[in-house]
Amino acid sequence: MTSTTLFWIFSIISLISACMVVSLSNAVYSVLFLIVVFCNTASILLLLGAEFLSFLFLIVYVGAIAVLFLFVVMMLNVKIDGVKINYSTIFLIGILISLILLIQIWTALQLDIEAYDNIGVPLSQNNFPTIISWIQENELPSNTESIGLILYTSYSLVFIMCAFILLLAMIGSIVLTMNQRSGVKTQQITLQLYRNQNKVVRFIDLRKN
Amino acid sequence: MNVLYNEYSAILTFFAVAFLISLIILILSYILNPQQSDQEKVSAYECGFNPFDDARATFDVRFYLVAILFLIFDLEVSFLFPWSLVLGQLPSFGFWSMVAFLAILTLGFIYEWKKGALEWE
Amino acid sequence: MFYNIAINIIKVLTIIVPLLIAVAYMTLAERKVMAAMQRRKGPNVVGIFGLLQPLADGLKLFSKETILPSSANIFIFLAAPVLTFLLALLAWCVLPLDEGKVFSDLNIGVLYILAVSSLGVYGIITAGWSSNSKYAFLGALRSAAQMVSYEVSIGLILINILLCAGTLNLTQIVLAQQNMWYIIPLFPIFIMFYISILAETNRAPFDLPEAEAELVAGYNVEYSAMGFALFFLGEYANMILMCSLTTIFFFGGWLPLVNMLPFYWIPPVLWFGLKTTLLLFGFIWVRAAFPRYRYDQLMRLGWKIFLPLSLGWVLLVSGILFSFDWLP
Repeated sequence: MTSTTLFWIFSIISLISACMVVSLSNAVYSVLFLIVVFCNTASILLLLGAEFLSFLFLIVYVGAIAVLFLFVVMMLNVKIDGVKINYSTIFLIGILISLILLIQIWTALQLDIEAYDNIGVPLSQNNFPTIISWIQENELPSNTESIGLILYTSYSLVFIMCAFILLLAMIGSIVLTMNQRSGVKTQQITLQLYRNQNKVVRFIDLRKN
Repeated sequence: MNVLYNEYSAILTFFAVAFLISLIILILSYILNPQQSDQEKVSAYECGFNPFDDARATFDVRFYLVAILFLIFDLEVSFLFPWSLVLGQLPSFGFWSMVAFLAILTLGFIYEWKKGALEWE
Repeated sequence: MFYNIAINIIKVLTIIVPLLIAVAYMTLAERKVMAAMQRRKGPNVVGIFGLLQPLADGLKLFSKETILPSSANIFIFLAAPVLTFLLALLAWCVLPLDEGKVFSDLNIGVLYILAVSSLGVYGIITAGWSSNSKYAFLGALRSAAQMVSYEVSIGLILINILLCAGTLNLTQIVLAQQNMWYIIPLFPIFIMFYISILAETNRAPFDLPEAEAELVAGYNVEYSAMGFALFFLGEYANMILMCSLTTIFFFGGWLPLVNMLPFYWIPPVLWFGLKTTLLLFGFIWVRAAFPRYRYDQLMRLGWKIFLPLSLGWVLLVSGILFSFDWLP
């Protein structure tokens, strides 16, 4: 199973699953196919040697984002069967947008980008037999370490911007979903935990009354 | 071939064998036992009654909030991973940029706490 | 290449078969230990001391009829227990039992385990939803929300360990504890980790979503025979996995107590097994001793207490290590 074969397998499965995501009528099945897309993309990243990024895809995309989608879709129970879609208009718009995307990708591929191998030889001219250089494997920083070495120093501005985006997400989700009803009695757990045993029970003598 | 391939293809083999074992466990029981399904057995369980209506209950927004909060803190943890590995090789600017990141997210956490998004769920 | 695959398959079976036997006898151990704590005997009829009880249980589950509920999505309904069991087994690839005795020595072993436990939520959600039963769905949703809440604190506690060890490779983490096990400087974190894994595996006192009296076994109420057995096996395998992780991260994996004469006669794999067994005994002890947490108390513990505490510990540990230049 060479890397090319595996790449073709993962790519074809993710493309087919992506088509299924947008074409199925049952929303839960769409989300499940989206999970298949994420898993295959993570495998392609593994083939490239970006192991940290690959597992990050699995942890964040599949483990958090798709779970969020699944919670919402399963609870909402959307039924799309009864909706009538006018296919002719949508077809034209779809073809127009795909053409624009195609032109953009074609323009990007015309750029002169050379990929280099580990020892500085352009990949297009690389005819070397595959030798595993154990010194390189041990001494060069791994994917995780190389991300860490530059993210917090050279790109720290981008990093702090990420913090603000996450802050925005937190505040935004609360603003959109919480309706605080005033006057609702809730449990005060700190009061419950700090009740004093001596002050809880009082002895009242009823005979004096 | 990348030297990682040995490790990951081993995991693929493990996946295949474990999948096969669980399929065998599932299918063997189905094949070897007499299956006689009648209408009472395959209806959904509701303490002896027939099920009232479709199972999808009303949308509870608290689950959505928990999922969003989990997403945010999961991303925070994933930013902490490379930092914790290379902290020995970073200058002190790297340390303090992460402290700034954590401070901003703590601000958001305090906001949530005060707003009551962490209550009763 | 086929020779490699054959060797790998044999290695896989060497991991899975003893694991399944361990899971089976873990169920017996739980019943016997809980019985002893309640001053009665557990199962002791089937074999000597009840040792063949897991076989009897397995045979009973095996011979039940598989019921497929009429309004369930059959494919997802059957895929859910398979997924749960598969993920409980998959995480065992990267656990080192001795120096070099690991099936796949990934350089990002910790991330792999975190990914597998994040995926474990799916088995529960799909099981609850595909059963098309109100009780199953509600139980599944609550169970999933609970697992997801405690995963955050598990992740933050793992960051502390990574700060001290400097690597994501599990073998290297154990070897970094040769001078001192991490439980000694990080004892409060060990307590938080232990409680978090109790909550993550839906284990008492955090087992409200599958509490028998309340939600009638929660998300697996519609499962019978082997579907139920797969969930059961998956839960116990997950439990043993989490205890093994605790020994690797805090108790020094296979390292002996002191590197002196009588201690290193005991083979390292036995040290690993001993420490894991002690932690599992702690799991059963906690189940017998403590009352169940209510669901809102459970979520309050996860979000309002463990999250800020573990975040504070990350800052403390990183601050101390960074200022004294003790980072690996």
